[in-house]
Amino acid sequence: MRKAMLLLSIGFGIIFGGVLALAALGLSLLFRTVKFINFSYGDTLALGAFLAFLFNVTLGFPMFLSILITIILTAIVGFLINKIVVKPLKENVKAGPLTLLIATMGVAFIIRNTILIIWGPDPKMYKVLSGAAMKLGPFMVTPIQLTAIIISVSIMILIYLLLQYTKMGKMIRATSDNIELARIRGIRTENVVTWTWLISSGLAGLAGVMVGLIGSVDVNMGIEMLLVIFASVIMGGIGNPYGAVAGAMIIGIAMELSSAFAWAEYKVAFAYLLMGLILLFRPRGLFAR
Amino acid sequence: MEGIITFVMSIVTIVAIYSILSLALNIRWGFTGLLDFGIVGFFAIGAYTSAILTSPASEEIVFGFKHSLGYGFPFIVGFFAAALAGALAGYLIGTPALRLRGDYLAIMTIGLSEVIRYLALNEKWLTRGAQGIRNLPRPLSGYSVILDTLFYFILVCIILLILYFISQRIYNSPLGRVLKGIREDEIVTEALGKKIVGFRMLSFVTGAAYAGMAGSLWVHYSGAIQPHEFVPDITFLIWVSLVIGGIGNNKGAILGTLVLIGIIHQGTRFLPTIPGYTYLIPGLRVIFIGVILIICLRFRPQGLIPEKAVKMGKEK
Repeated sequence: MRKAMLLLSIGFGIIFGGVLALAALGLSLLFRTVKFINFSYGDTLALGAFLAFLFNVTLGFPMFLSILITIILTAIVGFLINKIVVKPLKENVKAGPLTLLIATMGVAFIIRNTILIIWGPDPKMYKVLSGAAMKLGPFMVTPIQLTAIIISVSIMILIYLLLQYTKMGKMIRATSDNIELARIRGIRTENVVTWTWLISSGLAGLAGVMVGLIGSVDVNMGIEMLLVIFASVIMGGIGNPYGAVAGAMIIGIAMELSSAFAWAEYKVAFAYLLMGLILLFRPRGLFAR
Repeated sequence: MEGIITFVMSIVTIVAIYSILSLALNIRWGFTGLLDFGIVGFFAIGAYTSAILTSPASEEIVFGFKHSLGYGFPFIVGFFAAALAGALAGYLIGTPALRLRGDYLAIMTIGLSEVIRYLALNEKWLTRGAQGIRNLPRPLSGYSVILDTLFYFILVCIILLILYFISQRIYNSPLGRVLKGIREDEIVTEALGKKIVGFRMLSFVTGAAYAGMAGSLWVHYSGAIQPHEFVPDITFLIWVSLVIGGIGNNKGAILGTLVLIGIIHQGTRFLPTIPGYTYLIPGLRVIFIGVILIICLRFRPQGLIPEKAVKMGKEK
């Protein structure tokens, strides 16, 4: 019995961790390039979850199409946040990273309350068949969970390939390493920043849908996920996208284990405790050299 | 007429309580540059301390759980205990958290404030969870409602004034100069022989005590307490108040709170909820506040009352 429970929570931890990793990757990628923490990331994620609800349930589109439209729309939202809020602050008042963080907190509340006005506070579910749980190795998973983890992992591989092997990826990496040098080498860093916003916010939107698929969609998921994403990103070393992915897996599994065996109410608090310990004893992340 | 007076009085009381929170954030962020996103956590700790100490002792059964909470102390005990509890929590949380800088501190503090809320929600033996604690007394609870309300209104205003003067005193003292030094450049301040860690802690703990007192005043104003009152939205409102008013300036902190909480947040309470669109007005209110924050950062980052530039000694 205990063993079954253990396997169940590890299994779900891996799935949740995979989805969390997708979200953490997006935040980390953006942080590396723009050098400030985008506090509206969690609510962009929540917006993605609700947009998919709009297309999938309200308008009755098939799920894959809904996901596709959602990614595009949240990417545009990210683009607009940069264009309307961040860029003017940077260019006109030379805002530092802390000011930008405060400004994106404002954006977070704007998005959250827009969601509240349109969709209200009640949790929502997608119209997808969850199907019977099946055995996969030692774990039990539902087809939906399996789909969520497959989508998350394939997108992460895609982002890895993009960063490692395409010209765009090289430009992004160069810009995040040293923006001045990148500019001198003729990279249009402005465009790179714009692209990073698009990719990062699109990832947030997709991750939001995945969270909705394996759980439910509600207006407070933004702030809750943001805290857990922070925990993952810091676990892996802030600004290290691959570390963030590993951190997310650890946090995801740890959270599920803690909720199964100790305190279900303190799942998020437990992630925070882990993050606090990492910040205090290995402030540059688990994998820092 | 009486209705208007009560309305204005209640708004001024709320503004005064929130102003204490703004002063707390101003000490931390405005003076010292500690990026604190968890002010609501200390507000909650003060609020619960005061609520638990002053609520009448009872043996009632809550959710099948024998509940013997409540000590029935008078308001004044709750108030000072809230300040102490806030300061103590500030010290305990600050000891690990203040080793962090800038945005890391922001992440840590916003998370801790949520953890405090989860504790309030789940530790039913201490806080009665979501049900909350009711029937909290005020200093003149036994007398007529008008006298009680009026006295409490005056009391809150006096406490705000006292805290304002203390804060002002800190700002102009050598201590205040060290704090501002830390804000502007930690390394230089440290090179001048100031122990940064201690001063950061002092600022953090003072802010926590302020927030604790605000929490106590808040629960005795509303007479009841529930965990969902202590969401990060409060932190957000205080931040916007401070940004509007002028970071680093105590007068600005209070003016900003008056504008934001008094006029925009509470002053629009009379707006009716539109049937079928329950969340339209409250949602739009917060959206509007978010827009103000961004516009303020962009066009008037120094706020309504900018911090005075430091007077330099005469150059020869």
